[in-house]
Amino acid sequence: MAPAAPMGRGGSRAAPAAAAPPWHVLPDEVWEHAFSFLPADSDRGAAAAACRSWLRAERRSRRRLAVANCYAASPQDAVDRFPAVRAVEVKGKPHFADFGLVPPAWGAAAAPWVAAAADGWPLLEEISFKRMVVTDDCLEMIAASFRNFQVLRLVSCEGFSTAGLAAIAAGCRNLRELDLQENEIEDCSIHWLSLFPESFTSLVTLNFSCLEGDVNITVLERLVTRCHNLKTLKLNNAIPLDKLANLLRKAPQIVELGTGRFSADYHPDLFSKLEAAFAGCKSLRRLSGAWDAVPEYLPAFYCVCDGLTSLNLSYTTVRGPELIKFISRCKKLQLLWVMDLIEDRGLAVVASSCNKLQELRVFPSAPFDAAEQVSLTERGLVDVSASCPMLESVLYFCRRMTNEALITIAKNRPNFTCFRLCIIEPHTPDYTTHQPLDAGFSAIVESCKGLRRLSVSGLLTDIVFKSIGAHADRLEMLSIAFAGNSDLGLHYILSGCKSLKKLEIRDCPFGDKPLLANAAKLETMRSLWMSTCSLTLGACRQLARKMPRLSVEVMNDPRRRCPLDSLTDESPVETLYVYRTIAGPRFDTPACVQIV
Amino acid sequence: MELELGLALPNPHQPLPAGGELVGLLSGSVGACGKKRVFGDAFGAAKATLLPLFVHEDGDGGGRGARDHDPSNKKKRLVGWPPVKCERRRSCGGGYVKVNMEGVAIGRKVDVSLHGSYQELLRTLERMFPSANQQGAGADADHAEEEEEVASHERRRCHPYVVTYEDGEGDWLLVGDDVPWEVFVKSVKRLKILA
Repeated sequence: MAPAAPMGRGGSRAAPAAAAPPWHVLPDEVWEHAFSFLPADSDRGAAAAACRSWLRAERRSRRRLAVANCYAASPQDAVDRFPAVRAVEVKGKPHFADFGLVPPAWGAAAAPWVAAAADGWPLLEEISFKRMVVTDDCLEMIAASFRNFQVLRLVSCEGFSTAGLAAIAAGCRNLRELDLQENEIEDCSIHWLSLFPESFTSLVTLNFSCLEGDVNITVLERLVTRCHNLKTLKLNNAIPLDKLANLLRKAPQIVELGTGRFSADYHPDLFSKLEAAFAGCKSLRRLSGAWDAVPEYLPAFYCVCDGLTSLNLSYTTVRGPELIKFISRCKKLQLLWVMDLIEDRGLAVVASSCNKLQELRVFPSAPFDAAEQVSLTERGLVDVSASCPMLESVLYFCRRMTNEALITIAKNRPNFTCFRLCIIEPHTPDYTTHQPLDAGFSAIVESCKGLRRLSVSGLLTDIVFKSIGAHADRLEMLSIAFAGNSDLGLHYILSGCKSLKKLEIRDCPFGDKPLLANAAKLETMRSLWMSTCSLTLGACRQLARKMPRLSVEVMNDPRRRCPLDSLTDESPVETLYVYRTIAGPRFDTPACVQIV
Repeated sequence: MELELGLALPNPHQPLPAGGELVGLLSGSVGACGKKRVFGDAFGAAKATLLPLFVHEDGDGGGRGARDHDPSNKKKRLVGWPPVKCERRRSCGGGYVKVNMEGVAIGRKVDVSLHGSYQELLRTLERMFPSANQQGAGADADHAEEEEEVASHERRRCHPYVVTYEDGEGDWLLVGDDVPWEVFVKSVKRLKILA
């Protein structure tokens, strides 16, 4: 773009009397309006990189900000750069924190973000934190600082209690969504629900399914009754079944329901009550809950099955025939999460009944007990992928797999965007040929050109990584465990995989060489996690010296007590976590973490 | 404390940090808890421990072909594998339980099944809740332990902790040797440390 007039001044320049100004010299407000039509942050980022006036217009009009790594930039950087943000999402700990691989006190405190936001974004309406440490003080500050606060979403967070929830309830007069997903919430026996004022009616989403303590049911009923716009209600395990029926009668407009623990002895009266309550919920589309072996009550749901698009039964211990009968009635299902108790025969029924299925997740009912065998094998996944043309996202835990099955799946479903297969026993080969599963996973990446997320498992050699590096052009996130034979495996990945953003590796024989040879690649990625591999401290130090815009964090077993400074270059490194950052090294690391 | 030597096949699925050292398996031995006797005292006589005759020293973290199956070997669980979240582990009978200490607002979580004995569990709890004087919601257990080990040992002599647990039936019992470790792991629902 060759400007006829200087661009960096903002506002339109005075037009010469005869001609209109060149098209590219437009007021900032026009550009801001144009940018509002760009939904993806990456598009906005690209626009901002075009020239200074677009940079200015874009950053001043940015309303939604997603910070995928809370340490990639400082909260103050974010507030300064994007002063008009109304909705912010921040993610903290690495993904493997979900499985206990990150030590407590690792970091990811939400407090600095809340403080900076309180200061710089007084009009903030939405906050979303994932895998962060959120304290009651944070929640109190949120309640006190943003007069139009509307949405609080906390996912896999910890560090707060019902006292913090009380502050939110009491202080956020315009709250629309309180969405608590899989958090560790301390129960201080505070009746936080009672603190929503009687005049408060704006709630659209209330999700407290992860709360372990009791709630005052009368207060809940009154809240649900007066919030006429309530669309999502996800209860915790403390709500008994008959109270669920009452709540449903008060909120028949509900679209998404989490039933809490759905468990009681069978009583025909309670059954009728539930059936009638569900019959009144004509808009119900999404269902979840922890159903403890109550097959007798499942028919109470039959009237809503027709409309269900999303069914999360991943905490349900109902087995076999009743479960299958129920799911087979849900012909419009787009999302299904189940336990492996559904078995292959259940998935065969899903395959024939639910052809609109887009996402399937099958979780292990006995992940630690190899003895308790459930008949869920590669067969189930093959059936579903053969019959569900819209299936694009899979998470599947099983105990055996074959290359042939994976090749068939790849051929049937080239439209996969997310394929996560977890064969529970590490190093499990193809159970018919005893070969590694290289051929199967290679078929997946060769066929599924739009694959964005992949988790591999089973017996795998470096060969599979060669395929992944060469073919997985759109892959953004890759998880590897107990796989590969040598440095080559890692080298193939880091020198290929053009779009790779997140790489997490555990228990693989990958060492220093491929890491150092591909150091520049790491700056194009969001983060790299490597634990229980073959790395040395010297390589990590070298990497840090070579790449100043990367933060190289080394973590050793907290049970070993020597400070990293005193260790030699040859010392093995238990865990490496590397991420790009413009904020420099962080100062809140615990003793077992060091930034080299 | 008596040590018994027993034969046990090497377990290819033990978590082996790159340094090759076996973590945890040998630490249930005599000297390890010598300093922390106060915890030990609360739990009666120390248990006998079994040492395997063959110990894995190499740093091979993966890439093995055939696997050794020892049906009699109680497999020591791999940390964080299979990759299921904590909530799911609790409902599936995994070892994750909540730990609260009297007087401390925010509790912690511990995976009981990753420990091989009461002594190991106690050591983890010590690290999580070093001593009443140092406790705070943001206290860093690692820092505290390194610097104050000797001093806190003295403090604890005067103020012993008592660890209790809630079992499957909702009863609160004293953590101790009258229940075999394996039975305890299966029945423990949560822990509470009484100051």
